[in-house]
Amino acid sequence: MLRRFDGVSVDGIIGASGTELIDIALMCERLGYEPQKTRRFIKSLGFEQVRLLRRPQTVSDLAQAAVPPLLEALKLEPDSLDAFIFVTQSQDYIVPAPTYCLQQPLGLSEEVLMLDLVQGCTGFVYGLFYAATLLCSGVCNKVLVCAGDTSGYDGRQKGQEANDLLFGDGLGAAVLSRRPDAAGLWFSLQSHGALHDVIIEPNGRSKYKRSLDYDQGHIEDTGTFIDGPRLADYVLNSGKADVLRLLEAAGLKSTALSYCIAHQANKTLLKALAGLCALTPEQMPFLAAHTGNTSSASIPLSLSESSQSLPKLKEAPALLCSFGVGMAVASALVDLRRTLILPALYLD
Amino acid sequence: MDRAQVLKEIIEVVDPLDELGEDTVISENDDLDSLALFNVMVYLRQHGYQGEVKEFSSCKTLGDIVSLIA
Repeated sequence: MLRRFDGVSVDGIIGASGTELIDIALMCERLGYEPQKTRRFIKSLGFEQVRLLRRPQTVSDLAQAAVPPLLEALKLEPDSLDAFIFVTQSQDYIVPAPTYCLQQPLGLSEEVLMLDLVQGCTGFVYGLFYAATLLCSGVCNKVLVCAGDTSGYDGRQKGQEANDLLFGDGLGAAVLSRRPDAAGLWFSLQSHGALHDVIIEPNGRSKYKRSLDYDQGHIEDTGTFIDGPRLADYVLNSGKADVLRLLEAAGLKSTALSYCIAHQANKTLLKALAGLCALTPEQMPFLAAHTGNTSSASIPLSLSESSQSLPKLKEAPALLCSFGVGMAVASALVDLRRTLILPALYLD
Repeated sequence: MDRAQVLKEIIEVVDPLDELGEDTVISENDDLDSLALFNVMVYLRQHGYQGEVKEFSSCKTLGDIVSLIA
C-alpha cells in the first residue's frame, strides 16, 4: 500500500528504555564465548551494550513514564486525545488488550478510541499510518501512538546465540494531529506473510500450547528463531524496494532526504541497505550501539536518543524505514522539522 | 572474481575460530551459525548475487556458496 496523507502533523516524539546496561563483551565472556567470537559479534552487529528494563517492569511501565512528559511538553491534556494506538508484541496480558490497562493510568477519556496492534520492528511506522488514517478521515483531531517491546535476553536456541547479543527493551511515543499547513505524509507498507517463519517464536502461544504432544510439566521456551540468510535477503530486497518506491512516489531523490532513520536491526545490515538505496552512511546512521535492537521502539527511541546529533532533521524531510517480523516492510516520509523530539527517558 | 578471492573474502566476513575451506560442511561447523550466514548473504547481495535465497540455503559446503558468484 502506497498512500499520501495531507494535513497531518507529527507534533512530538519521545523514547524510553530502562537504566540497566548490559555490556556485550562481558556477557559473551559469561556465556563462555571465545574472545574472537565476541569480537565478531560486536563488529558485525554493532551493539556494544544493550539497554534493558528491570524486572518486573514491562512495556506498560515505559508508556506510563514516557507519555505524560510528552503531553506536557506539547501542552496537551490526556483527555484531549481522540485515539490511542498501542503497538507491541510484549503485552502484559493476552487479555485484556494493553490499551485497556493503560487508559486510566494515562488519564485518557472514556470517549477515546483504542486500537491495539501486533507488529514487530515495523510497529512504529504502522502506528503512524493508522493514526494518519484516523486524522485524515476527520474521525480524530489528536492521536497518541505508542510502540514498544521488551525483547531483551531470556535464553535462546542453539545456533541462535546472536539473539542474546542484540535485543534491548524500549518504547517510543508520538502525538499526531490535524494541521492544514502540515507537509504531506507518505507511507509505503508491504506485507509478505508467506515468509512468516523467517522470524518466529515457535513455542510462544496456542500453536504450541494446543499441540497434541504439549506437556504442561515441561514447557520448552525456545525464544525467537531467526533465519539469518532469509532475513538478510528480505531486508536487502524488500527494504530497498520500499525505500525507492516511496522516494519515487514523492518525487524526491535520496539526496533530498535529511536522513533515513532505519529500524536499528544491526550495523552490517544498515550499511548494506544504505549502499543499495544510494544513501550515504551518514544519511542512514546506526544509532543503537549502546541501546540494542529494540524492535518496534527502535526508530522513535533512536530519534529521541540522538536528535542532537542529527541536525539536518530540521532542514529536510526524513524517511523512516522499518522491516522485520511478518515479514513486513513499512516506510514513511515525514517532515520532522517542526516536531518536538524530547530526550529519551530511562526508567530505574 | 576468482574462487580463491571469493573464498578469502567470505572467510573474512565469517571471521572464524577454526580454519575454513571450500569443503567445510556448513551444518557441521560452529563458525557458520545464523549470524555468520546472515553476514555471508549480505556480502553476496553486495557483490551482485541475484539468486533465490533457497539456492543459498541449499548449499551444503562453503565451496557451494563460493560457486554462487565465482
